[in-house]
Amino acid sequence: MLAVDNLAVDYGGYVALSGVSLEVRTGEIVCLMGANGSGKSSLLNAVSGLVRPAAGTVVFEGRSLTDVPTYRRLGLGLAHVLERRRLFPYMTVLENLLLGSYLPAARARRGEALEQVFRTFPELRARRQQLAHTLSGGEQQMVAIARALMSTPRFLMLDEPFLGLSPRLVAEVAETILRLNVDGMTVLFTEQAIHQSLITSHRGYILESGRLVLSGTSAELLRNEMLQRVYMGLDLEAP
Amino acid sequence: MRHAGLALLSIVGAALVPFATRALIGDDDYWLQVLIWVMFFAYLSAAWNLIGGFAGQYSIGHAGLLGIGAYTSSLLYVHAGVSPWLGMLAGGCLAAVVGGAIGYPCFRLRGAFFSLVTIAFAEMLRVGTELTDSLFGLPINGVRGFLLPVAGSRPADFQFVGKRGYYYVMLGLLVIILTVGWLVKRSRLGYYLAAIRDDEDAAAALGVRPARAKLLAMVLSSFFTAIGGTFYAQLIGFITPTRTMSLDFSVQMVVMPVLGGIGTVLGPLWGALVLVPIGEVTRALWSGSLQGVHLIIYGALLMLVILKWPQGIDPWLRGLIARRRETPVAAQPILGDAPLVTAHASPDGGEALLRVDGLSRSFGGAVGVRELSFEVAPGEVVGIIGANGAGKTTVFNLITGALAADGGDVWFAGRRLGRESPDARNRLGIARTFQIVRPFIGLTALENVMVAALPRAASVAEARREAGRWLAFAGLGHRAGVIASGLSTGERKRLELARALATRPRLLLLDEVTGGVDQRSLPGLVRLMQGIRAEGLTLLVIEHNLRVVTALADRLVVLHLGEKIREGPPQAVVTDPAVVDVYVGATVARG
Amino acid sequence: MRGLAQAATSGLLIGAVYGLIALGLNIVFGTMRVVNFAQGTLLMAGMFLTYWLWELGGVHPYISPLVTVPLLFGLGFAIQHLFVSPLLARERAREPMSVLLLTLGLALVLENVALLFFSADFKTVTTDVSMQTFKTAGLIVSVPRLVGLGAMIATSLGLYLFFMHTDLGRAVRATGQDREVARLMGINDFRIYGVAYGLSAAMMGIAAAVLVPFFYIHPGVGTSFLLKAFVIVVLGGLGSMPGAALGGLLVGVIEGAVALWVQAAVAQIVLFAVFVAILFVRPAGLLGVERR
Repeated sequence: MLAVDNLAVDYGGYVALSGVSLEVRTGEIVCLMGANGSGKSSLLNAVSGLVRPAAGTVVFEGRSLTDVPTYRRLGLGLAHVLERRRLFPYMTVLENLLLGSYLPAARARRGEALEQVFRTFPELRARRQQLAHTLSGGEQQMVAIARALMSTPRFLMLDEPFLGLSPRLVAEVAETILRLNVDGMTVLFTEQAIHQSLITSHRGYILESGRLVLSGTSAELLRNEMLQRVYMGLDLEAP
Repeated sequence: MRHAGLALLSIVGAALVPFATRALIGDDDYWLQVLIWVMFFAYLSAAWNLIGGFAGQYSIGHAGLLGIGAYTSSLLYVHAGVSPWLGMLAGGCLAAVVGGAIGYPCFRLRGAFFSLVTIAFAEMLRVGTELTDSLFGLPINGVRGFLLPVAGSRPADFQFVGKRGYYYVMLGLLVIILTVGWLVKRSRLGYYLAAIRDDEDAAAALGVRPARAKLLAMVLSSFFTAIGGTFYAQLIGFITPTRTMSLDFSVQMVVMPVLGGIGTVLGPLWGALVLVPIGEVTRALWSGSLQGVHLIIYGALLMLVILKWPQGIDPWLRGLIARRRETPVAAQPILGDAPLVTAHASPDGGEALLRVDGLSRSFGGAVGVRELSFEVAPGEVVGIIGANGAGKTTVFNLITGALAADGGDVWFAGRRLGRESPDARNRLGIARTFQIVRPFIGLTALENVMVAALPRAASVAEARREAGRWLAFAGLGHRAGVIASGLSTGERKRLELARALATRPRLLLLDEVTGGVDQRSLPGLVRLMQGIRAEGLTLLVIEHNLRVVTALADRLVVLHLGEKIREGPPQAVVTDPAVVDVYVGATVARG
Repeated sequence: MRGLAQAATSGLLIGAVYGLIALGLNIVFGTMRVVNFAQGTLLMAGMFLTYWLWELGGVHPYISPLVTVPLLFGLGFAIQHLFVSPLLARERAREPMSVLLLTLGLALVLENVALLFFSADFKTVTTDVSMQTFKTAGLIVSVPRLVGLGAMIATSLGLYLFFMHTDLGRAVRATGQDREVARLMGINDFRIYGVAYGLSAAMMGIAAAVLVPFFYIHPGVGTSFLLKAFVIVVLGGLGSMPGAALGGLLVGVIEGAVALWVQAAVAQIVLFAVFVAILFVRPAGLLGVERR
């Protein structure tokens, strides 16, 4: 569904990604792992268009996204939940959800989508008039995912969905991702914690300082002794 | 200006242009008048430029200061018989006081707000003057204005018959203001202002005091603007509030430097040379009923410049005339005569240079740092690692004083740090680099480091030498003359290091130096960090790149959710199961 | 006492006009973080349009918004698209003053073009309502001013409904709060900017309709209103809609009261002094930056 080829991203000289290629096949859950500054967010940003890549291509469902401006990408079925949620702070939960269905096609299906979302996240129905910035981290995460779902996307990208959440909430979010996938959603998410990511995905990639250093199915990676050493910076040549 | 000789020549040359033109044209009073206007506006724009261009505070109310000068000298002349030459100085001083008094508290207002206040100030002054018929018993006739007595040729009283006298006076004033501008630009103040304009907070972190620098610029600017007001009064012989203190006048004082090149010495001159003749031509062609045509052109040009050539004319001219010479700084490695790192008397018994004791800080409900304690011995390199949100940058902010702690202490060189501001701590010997590098974009690499060196140098020349040495040490000697915006990220990181080093710290806090650096530049950067370490400096390093930090550090401190969970030699820490757990998440199953 | 109430009443009503302008400034600032110096000249454009509609077409000023509002919206949209967007697209943090200077240049151009074509003569429009007054509670209230208050209330209501209950309105608010995320929602932020700018220009059509029956029309009229509107916006808190509306009324009252007691022009000084004082004490304004 998504193919990223030789992607390079830099912010005015600050090299965030160089020569990264990965793919996400339809129906998969893929996780992208790495420490901070490894470039995970930059990759997602390049796919959703928030950042223009310095080199490389992004192909979504067979179509190159190079000349597609950001605001058109949601219409293609590609949704992006940002790091730290980023809800519209001074708007209510409901308004945030309504904005999720701003696109004309989504607007038509709005009532239905709203019902669906409230079924998936029952706590939100009670909180729908609450201002977004007053919600807790976990609640915000739910709203952020719910908002992305309002446009019934086919491909969902989540940037560090487990960040700052308690273990119970982490489990809830993970479960939600798995459920969505069972219902047909393709997912790409980034995370720092390896173990949690691998048990919530089919395949994984590991980024370090803007380059891919390891990839494979989650099962393989979980078993991989080398993984730990690589991740902790050992066993690769010191600079 | 980097080329002193060329600059001086330019100023003299520029000043001679009106002279030469006049000689060619002859003594026709009309053209003389035009030249006088060109120089007059160039003068006013140059005076404005001191605060607007150099300091980046765009006052759109400078006409108010002009009015103060005009009224002060005129009142003194008409009612006290004081010669306008003296009255001019009195007006200048008064304006300097007023300008400083209004400017100083307003400087903290950013951008547009400052401009709005200055507009309000000028409007208040104008309306107030329009309403006042007498001031301290002296008639000023409010909106009707008042006439200055015309008494023939009285040079001692700043009155000339014909335009020639005024021409020379204006020429002299113009040369003076351009020279003042040039002197300021290459003085300590000039460097401070340039740094402040680019990044006020970064400048403060290097020990510069922004408020003071801006105040000085404002005082100078007000003084000279008011003198221009006196000239105006003497030339026209008739002053009214509506004309001297109008918004239009203020705007023209802004448009010309913007067009000519904000923040450059000669920019105001170019701006006036272009715009004033246009104004005169339109007035000549469509005189009378069609007033304001020149303002249409001014407005359109202003828009054009902002959209297409924000730097203005001057840099474009310089690009045509001067070739950019990269002033090579002698690439001396460590100088023999003075060690780069001042050897401070080391405390006996290896007492810790930095001691963090029970430090705590939370943000609302979220914990930033909790009960954190660790030490750094002199000459040590300690690395701080941990997942995102673990509190690493918070620790730096607490040590440098950018954040206040909720509990616990920071001890530096045996002294407990209390309420000292970042620039005070910098003077004590703590320097830091930022995760997102903040060079002064408009300055060259050398000038960037000079700003850091100036507070501790006895002269600009000495600061330049110091800066050169640090640049060379950081491996940027060959790039000293390059504008910071033209440096690559790796080079900018080195620049940031050189700048921090130039503040002669004892403790250097490095925040994610390797972040965003491309693979090829990485080894060099790490070598530089090792070089700094070899100089005997004490380092505290935040790093995500575990390979780098394990190679560099003597000890690692691991933070997780604001608390220290492990501390020790790199190899031991990195293989410790608890630490691995944090990074990898649950010990990886074997087999 | 009656005199004071009288002054307050007339001040209240002109304050309504100020409020409209301040609301317009706020919409642009809230969405784009731009201080729009050209707002005053847009008002002036609206007033001239209204004037010409009356002179040439006999269209009553109160009907004119039907024409002027769409026209001004288009003008505002075009201005934003042609001049402001390219500047915002550059997005370099180093240029906070650029947009101010740009709109300043635009104001210069527009005002002096108007001066060129229409001369500095003051024009007036006298209609059947221009002089009408009626008495209530012992106060004499002039009809045009009452219409002004009504127009402002209606417009405020309309804006409220727009921003809170329509998708486009929500999109405008969202873009002001987080531009990047708005894009991810499929919102074309540059077009939204055009809408915001156009909307604030369109509101000048309403303000013009209200002003024309009892105020002079000349090229510089916009600037004098603008300077006061800045006071109001800062007073009420940049970004706060209720602040702008209430601030407008407050300023109108102060102006009216001071003018009655001392002199009309002294009121100006008092206003500006208050302005400067507020900027010092509370740069965020009285109601703070409370986004809607």
